[in-house]
Amino acid sequence: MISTNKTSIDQFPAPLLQDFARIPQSRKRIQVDLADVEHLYIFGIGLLATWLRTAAKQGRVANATETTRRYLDRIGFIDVVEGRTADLWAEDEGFAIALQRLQSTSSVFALTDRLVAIIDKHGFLGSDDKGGLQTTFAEMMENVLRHAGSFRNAYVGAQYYPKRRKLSIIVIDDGIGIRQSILTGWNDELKHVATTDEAAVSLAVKPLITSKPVRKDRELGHSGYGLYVVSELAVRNAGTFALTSGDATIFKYAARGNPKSRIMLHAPWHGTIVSVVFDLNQLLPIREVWATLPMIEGYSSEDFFEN
Amino acid sequence: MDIRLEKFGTVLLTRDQGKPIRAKLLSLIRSGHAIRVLFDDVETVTPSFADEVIGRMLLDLGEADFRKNITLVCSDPATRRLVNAVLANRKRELLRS
Repeated sequence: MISTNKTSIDQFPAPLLQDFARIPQSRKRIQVDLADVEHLYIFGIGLLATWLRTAAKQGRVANATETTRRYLDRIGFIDVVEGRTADLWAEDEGFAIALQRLQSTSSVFALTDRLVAIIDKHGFLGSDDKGGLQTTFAEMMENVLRHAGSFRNAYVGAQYYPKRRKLSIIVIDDGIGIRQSILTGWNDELKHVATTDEAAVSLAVKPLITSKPVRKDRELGHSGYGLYVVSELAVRNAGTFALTSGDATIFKYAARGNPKSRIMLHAPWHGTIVSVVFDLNQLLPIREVWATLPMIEGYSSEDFFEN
Repeated sequence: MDIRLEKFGTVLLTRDQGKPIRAKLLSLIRSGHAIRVLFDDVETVTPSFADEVIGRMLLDLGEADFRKNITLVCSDPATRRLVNAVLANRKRELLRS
């Protein structure tokens, strides 16, 4: 049995990872005690559900209040733990996306459509920006799946918190993780840099990073814009972005208007997690992010256009 | 030959949108045409679309043939910067391969 009472919108649930590390993967039955839990946020729920799905043949929660149990059911927690897929359209009227298994590219587009609909309903979004935002979210999920190495246990969930007007999104998998993805890719230069999980997550949020350059893998060789654009969007929106893989998490956020990033080392997660919190009081300046894509060092004077 | 991207849509978002356009442009170039790609009247270009169409043509043709056969025309500084950033990335890959 494990117990925890630390999950929040903005706080990284490191204590959960610590708890997970104490439990052997071979345990057949794992029971999570929710007696001390005051608040359940989507980050912690997604993390706990995916871990239970991965680590236990039979996972269950105990001592949850009736309200909590109903919420866990509605948000797809029970479905994930028991190996079912929640109905994408079954939840509560544009406030949440119940944890959904990413099964195919078409499931990515259905999910991004829903995400943008939630933002559009509760926040400020120009009609011209909907498609761009949808594409950006799709690329972020695609980036995560590439690092996962498979669709086996990859989930997306989201919850809008009306009192604080914040939208929290989690994309999580139990795949090979970013560092291993880089080490098994084609890009030899990145392999030399990604010597630790800390280095790997730092690399993954830089623009234009791919572990699979196109010369050897043309059809799959997308440059990595998804994670970078979403992280910049969160920073410019006064939100937060966190990317976890292995024993490292990189956070990107703004402090007094200035972009910041920091690394936290913690008990390892076998896979990749992206957590984004947007402040829907504020615009999501997607065009601003595109318009300020950084030029690669040494190429800043390149101009391919007719003058 | 002038190719107005606006003909394919004023909102150019995805790689799937870009693939047939790149195929058409490459086919024109390989049949001996030099092309001018005009971004005027296009409202939205994402990095993915720009990479799929323009970035990958740089890889397919190499920089010398790209510059010889393709002229990019755009009056919007934000779009120019985005496309230049995408092309610089692909140029770096080309030089490393």
